[in-house]
Amino acid sequence: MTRNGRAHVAPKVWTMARYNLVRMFRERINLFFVFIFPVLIIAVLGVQFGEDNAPEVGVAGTGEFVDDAAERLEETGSVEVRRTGVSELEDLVAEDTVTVGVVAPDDASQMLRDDGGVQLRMLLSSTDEAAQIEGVVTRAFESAAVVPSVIGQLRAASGAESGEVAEVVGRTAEALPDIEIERVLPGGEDAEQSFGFEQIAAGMLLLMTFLNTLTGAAALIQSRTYGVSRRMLASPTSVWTIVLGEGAGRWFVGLFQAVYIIVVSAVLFGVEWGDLVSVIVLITVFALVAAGAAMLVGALMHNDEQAAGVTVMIGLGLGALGGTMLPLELFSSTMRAVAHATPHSWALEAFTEVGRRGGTIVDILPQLGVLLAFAVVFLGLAAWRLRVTLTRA
Amino acid sequence: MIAAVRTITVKDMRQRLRDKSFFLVGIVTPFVLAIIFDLVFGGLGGDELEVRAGVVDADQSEISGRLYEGVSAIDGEGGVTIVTFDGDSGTGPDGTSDGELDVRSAIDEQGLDAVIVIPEGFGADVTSGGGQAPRLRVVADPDRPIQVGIVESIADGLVTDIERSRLAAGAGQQLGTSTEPALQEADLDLHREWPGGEGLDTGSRMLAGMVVMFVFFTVSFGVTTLLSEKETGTMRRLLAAPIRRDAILAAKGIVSYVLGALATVILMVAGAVLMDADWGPWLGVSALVLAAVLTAVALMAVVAGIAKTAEGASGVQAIVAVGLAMLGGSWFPVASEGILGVLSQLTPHYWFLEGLDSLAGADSGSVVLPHVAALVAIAVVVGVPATVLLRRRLTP
Repeated sequence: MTRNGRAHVAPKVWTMARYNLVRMFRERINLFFVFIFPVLIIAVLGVQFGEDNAPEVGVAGTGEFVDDAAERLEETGSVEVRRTGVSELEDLVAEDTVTVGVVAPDDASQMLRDDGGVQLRMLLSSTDEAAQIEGVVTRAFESAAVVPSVIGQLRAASGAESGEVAEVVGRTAEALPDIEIERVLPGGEDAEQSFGFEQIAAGMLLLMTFLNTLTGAAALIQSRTYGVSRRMLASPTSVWTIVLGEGAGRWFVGLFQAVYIIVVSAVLFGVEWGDLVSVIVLITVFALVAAGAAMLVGALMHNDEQAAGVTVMIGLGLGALGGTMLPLELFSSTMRAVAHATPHSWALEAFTEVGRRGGTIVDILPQLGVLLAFAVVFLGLAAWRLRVTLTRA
Repeated sequence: MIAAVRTITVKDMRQRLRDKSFFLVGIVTPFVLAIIFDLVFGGLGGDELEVRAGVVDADQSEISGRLYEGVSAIDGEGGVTIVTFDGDSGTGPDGTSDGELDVRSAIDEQGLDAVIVIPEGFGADVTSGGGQAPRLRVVADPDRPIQVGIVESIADGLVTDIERSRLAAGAGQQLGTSTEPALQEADLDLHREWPGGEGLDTGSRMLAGMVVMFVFFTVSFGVTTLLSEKETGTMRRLLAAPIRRDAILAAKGIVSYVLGALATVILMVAGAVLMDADWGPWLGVSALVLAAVLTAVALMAVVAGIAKTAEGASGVQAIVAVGLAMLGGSWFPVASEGILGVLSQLTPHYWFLEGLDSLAGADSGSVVLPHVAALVAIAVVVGVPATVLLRRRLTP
């Protein structure tokens, strides 16, 4: 009997897992959230925050000083400059199309040369980037003000004729080489920003894999309330086989979602995921964590409506905390510490290591270890709870 | 008719409130998510960003010394921490000397985002005129581009000061005046303005986004009961009773509307009390909320009017609710130009959020009139066919 029972464990687990997958695809709504939604959101976010989409800075005003400042802004490469009129600029900033606008008086160059200050109006949009872009804009205008203001300063000091001073200062400025600021990586090579589809796709992969696996918690509750689990128990099937089978089902769903996103993002958006073996091991382990979480929620909740609310909350909440929506680099140090309580952040770090730095499986061993620990804890707790709830009359 | 509407409304309302999912999905989930999002995204405002930078003076000239001190002086300002290093451990100008390795390990060990390196010969290059362009290096942690950008802009500001005094000294010499390299303060007098209003702070905006996203789910519970009543057979009994069909429809509509408005108000009051959200003039806010809930009812009703089963309806409703929320900017601001911008402006979420954005800090609630008008327009365009469709479903 025992021998017989054990021999049937593997096919039983396989059957239960397979039906979990079939049940997921039968539900049309799942098709949308598994197949279409991840692609849509990666596309929208990619267009939104992709590398080609520098924030716009509007400049209103004419004259040498303004032209020079606008040119310096363009050269920073971090913003796009749009020259417009004052009232149009006010509208553009008000509707957040332009992140920061600057209005300079037309005779600004002259005012600086007359050794007087120039008043600039900084129009700030209500976007989060405004504060940061404001700094870039201020620097550009400050360095454009150097030549005219030195002219003013020297004219006052020397008492020389203004044309002559301007000529001398211009010539000197021309002869002096600009001080360059060069950004380098610690290795010495040029730094290149790669904030784009790669990061967004990795974040969304983790978010959607976890969320869609978690939604399966409802199926587990249904199996229980419809009495399927109890009937299985009445057959020569051990509690552990059921737990294993349901868990394998969730795991399949998660793996499927992860593989789908990897393939589609690579084909549609050219996302490079890096070393294949590492990526496969990573998503296998992460799907295991998600399966464990789904089992736990399924074991703890009593009806599937409640489970739906809780899964959305946990799925989106942990995802946000774990850095799948906003890169971890932008977190404050406290929040980064909190983020490391989520499996997402560890998996995200591993994806970065493999995808961006060309790491291999050896480099992500620590992250994989932590993820495995998550999986063991979740699955252990879930199995223990399920054993109790399943065998309760 | 009125008595019938009242009876059905009261019964449905009691049923929905007794079900825990109204509180869980309608109130607890959006609120918890808003708090989490606020914690995560709230630090983005700029001034709260923590930056750790190092500075190395390998040049030890007068100019590099001034730069070094300038950078050091910023320590402690606006979330910036500066760690100073001895010049000896710095790097050679070619960037490949052993010193470079020290900078790298310093970045790792001290958790620095970037190190400003003043290379040997920097001071000489600055004063020589002609010759080699003086170069300042910012050794960056590639994973922290935003913080590196801030460090660069600090360096940029100090470099501008050096360029200015260098120019003043050089040109002054030719003109026969020796100007002290006194820093010319306040060439530029910057006046900050917010033409579109400062808008909601990040936390309130996150909450508003979640509120308008989840009100669609809350409302859908009420609308879908029309279908489930049909499935369980209670609809037949209702139709057999001496009640006009419109009474049934009206009651379902009222229940959905009231539940949606209730959840929204609870959430926004909770936001004001617990998260210090400042929503602006209450009259404008109320008008916006009432109009937004109306569009939610209309949109969810049209889905229920087309769907075959209650389960199918809630599936599609979830898709519509999540899809519109994403497009309308519930999760992150969506571009206001291009196709995405046009699509975004077709969602009620966009108008609700934009309306709240312009109300924040406004003197009068009337600024929100165009937003309310847009919401009502969406509600009418969607609501009329929804009523026709649903009325047809009221068959035994």
